[in-house]
Amino acid sequence: MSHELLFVFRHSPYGSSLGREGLEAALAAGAFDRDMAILFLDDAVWQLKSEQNTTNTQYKNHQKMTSALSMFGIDELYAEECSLNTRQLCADDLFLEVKVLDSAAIGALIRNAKTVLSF
Amino acid sequence: MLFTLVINTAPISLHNGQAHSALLFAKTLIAQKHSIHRLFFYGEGIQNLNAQALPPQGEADLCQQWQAFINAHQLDAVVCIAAAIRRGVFDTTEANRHQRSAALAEGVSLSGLGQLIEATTTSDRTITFG
Repeated sequence: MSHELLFVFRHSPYGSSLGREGLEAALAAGAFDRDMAILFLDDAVWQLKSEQNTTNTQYKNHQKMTSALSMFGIDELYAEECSLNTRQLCADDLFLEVKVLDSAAIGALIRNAKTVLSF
Repeated sequence: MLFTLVINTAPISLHNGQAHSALLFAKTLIAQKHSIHRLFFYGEGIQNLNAQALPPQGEADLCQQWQAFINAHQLDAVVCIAAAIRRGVFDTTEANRHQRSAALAEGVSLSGLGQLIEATTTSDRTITFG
């Protein structure tokens, strides 16, 4: 569980521009074939929620863009257990397969990464 | 040690102050004889180099301070092109292309996310602000 580049997403998909822009940065890193992983923390776990519907908002839906992560070779996805629990989300609510980690494991993940980029 | 700083917050966010922290951190790096590989401005952070912004009297002009710092130390400062264009901060070339006005501070360049990814490989430390 050691990666050259770890992206930490902390913002909700549509509540902050970093939701989308973090995703764009991760896809760019994927295109450069980096050894990387993404950690979904706090409100960013909403990025993983299935059935995102933005029809009644002005926002462009980026659930499909999130689904494209694996096409860019980004398969190492982690979510924090506590962030999911406090939002009453479980694996069935998510449209991507992620490894759920407790806070101790998150600490190790961050510690072992060569570089961490936070969005 | 070789550093890259990623700045994700706008200067106007006075209350969380992280753009200002980034500038102070960068100045301290130079003062302590470290090197800066690149300053990468992303998301709302691109507003730090919007030369058209005019802070009210008595408030810090962070754009001017960044510009002076970048020029004094000949730093590589990159503003993400996608983030800048969607927020209306064009350089002359992009302004002409899209029939808009230029707003980007002098001495910095618009470029792609590849510059961020490259910087993480080259630098000993990459620090994100915001």
